[in-house]
Amino acid sequence: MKRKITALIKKDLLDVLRDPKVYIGFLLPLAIFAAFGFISAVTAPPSSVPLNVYVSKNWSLFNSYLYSQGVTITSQPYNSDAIIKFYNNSNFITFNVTFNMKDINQIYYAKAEALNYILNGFQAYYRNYLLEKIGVANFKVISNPVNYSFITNINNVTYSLNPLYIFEMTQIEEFVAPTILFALCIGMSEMAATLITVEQEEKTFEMLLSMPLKRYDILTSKIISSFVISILSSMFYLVGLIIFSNEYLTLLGGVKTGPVFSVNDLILLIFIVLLIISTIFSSSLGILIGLLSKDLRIANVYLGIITVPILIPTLFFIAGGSLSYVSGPFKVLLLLLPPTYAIEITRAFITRYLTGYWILGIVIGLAETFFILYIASLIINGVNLKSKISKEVQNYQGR
Amino acid sequence: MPLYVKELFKSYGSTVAVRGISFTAEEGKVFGLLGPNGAGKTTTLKIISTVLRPDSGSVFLNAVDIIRMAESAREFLAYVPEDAGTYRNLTGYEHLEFAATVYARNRDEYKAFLEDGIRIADLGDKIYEKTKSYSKGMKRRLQIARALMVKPKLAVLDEPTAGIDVFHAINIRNLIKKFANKNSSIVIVSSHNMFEVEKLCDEIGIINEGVLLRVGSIKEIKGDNSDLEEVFMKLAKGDQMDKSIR
Repeated sequence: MKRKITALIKKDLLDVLRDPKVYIGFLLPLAIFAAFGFISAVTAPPSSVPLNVYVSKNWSLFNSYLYSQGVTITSQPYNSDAIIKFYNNSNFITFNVTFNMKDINQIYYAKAEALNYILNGFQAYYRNYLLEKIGVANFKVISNPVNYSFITNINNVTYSLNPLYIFEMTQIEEFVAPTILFALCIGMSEMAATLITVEQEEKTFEMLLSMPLKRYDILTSKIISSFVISILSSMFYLVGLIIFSNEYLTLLGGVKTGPVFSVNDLILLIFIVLLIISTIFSSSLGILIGLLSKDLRIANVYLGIITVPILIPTLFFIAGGSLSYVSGPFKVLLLLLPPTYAIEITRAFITRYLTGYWILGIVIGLAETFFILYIASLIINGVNLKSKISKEVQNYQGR
Repeated sequence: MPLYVKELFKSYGSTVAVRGISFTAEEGKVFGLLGPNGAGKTTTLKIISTVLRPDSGSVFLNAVDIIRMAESAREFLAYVPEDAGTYRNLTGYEHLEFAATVYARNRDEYKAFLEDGIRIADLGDKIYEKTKSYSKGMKRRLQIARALMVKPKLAVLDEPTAGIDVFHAINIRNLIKKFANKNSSIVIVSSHNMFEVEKLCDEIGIINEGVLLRVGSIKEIKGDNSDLEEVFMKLAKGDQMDKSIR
């Protein structure tokens, strides 16, 4: 019995492990962990940030406290990180804080955290001051001498919320939106690859190739079928995201801020375009994979490889990264990946501000999709890519 | 007009699958490629069906170079790959509809193709069911029907009766023979089944390790031997000896 089971196990392991492509699957977690580690480092908030605050009235106790915390007090309300107005009623102080930010990124997150830390610290500082000044007789005053109310201003869109709530909102949205988009893109690649791989496996593809059909017609039909499926899936994704955003983001912290977007919204329209481009890009990759694979096992290995580039922007935005905050080759890599733009624009649902990357997203997404489909057309026409590339290189050298 | 196959060569990497195959197949007749697995039958049929490009050589039909003018050649050829499957969620009828739409030049031709297809497939009411419920034999009959219903000048059938029960295999063999005679079409089949080849083909080519060892009518090839198996074994052994001497 033991001998037979051992023989069965040996047979299975040899069959799987002798295929070198299987090792690509083993290496994938390594690549993903390395990518995630790098992205976490890139998107980590800075340990110290400058904080410029405008204070409406001069109060030496408060001002000296702010100075002691390293805060710069500016004389201009504009260009400041926060405008602090305060009113006192006997020993009770009410602070109205307006926090200004131009983008949702790690710098503003660090500033919002620092401001909250400093203002909470002032509560304790002022309490000690009152204890020394009036003793413990008035417990009500000493226990809670300061009240704060927050307004967060993001490019002239105001929310009656502490900026940290806004970051919480975006963090949840930035987990949900990219994760589901990632699943959608991988699903689209898989579906497109399967459309061709199943034909290869069932040998119906050979039948198609022998019929009076142009190679381009076969490829075009595969592309259109995949795109129709992509657009259908995108619409389901979109409806889901609208339900999520309007249910969750408008009610966070018990504060209703109004619908995040409406159907006649330019941001929503651009998002739909970028979403469709992301999914058709993924479908194109799937078609290429299908043409390069003889069966589903090989197709799945190749699909595993393409999860890494799709995963990079997903992880980046989940980690709270911002395109305006990164630079160098990593930024170039992000900008070359079409899903980046569909994820990036979801921030505009909250900020109501278009960064301008979407134009690049449309151009790059379409250019890459057409390039992939061009390669697919060469393969379906039986062109040997290796010899074509070497011919092109020879032509180039001859020039 | 006969089909002329001249000096076909095809390699996959360092493996040479077909080495200089040449033969002629006549109109109204069934030509069979007979050989063991891996002999190069399927590669040859794929080249003739324009699915695969040879490294060198040519295939002519009706003065058309099938390899160079593959697109126009496909108008008058039909190919059934070995073990060809079906689209699981389409019915048999929808498969035939698809082929009829691709080949037909007008509505009347489309209707005639479809009627013929249903008759050849002989699947009864099962023709309206999804093919995922079909047996291997039923799928094979559907594929043969799909190929023959469009009345191609050249029908290329790789192992046409593989997986089909005896009763339907006899039917299909009769059908293929009748089809070739009635339509003056050229039918090329491949098989490793000597019995089938003897029953079905007018002319055969014996192929081994990518080389066509002999071509002729069954009678010519059998000569004084009792059956094709004996001929094949002698030819294959001779080929091996030739190679070792070389």
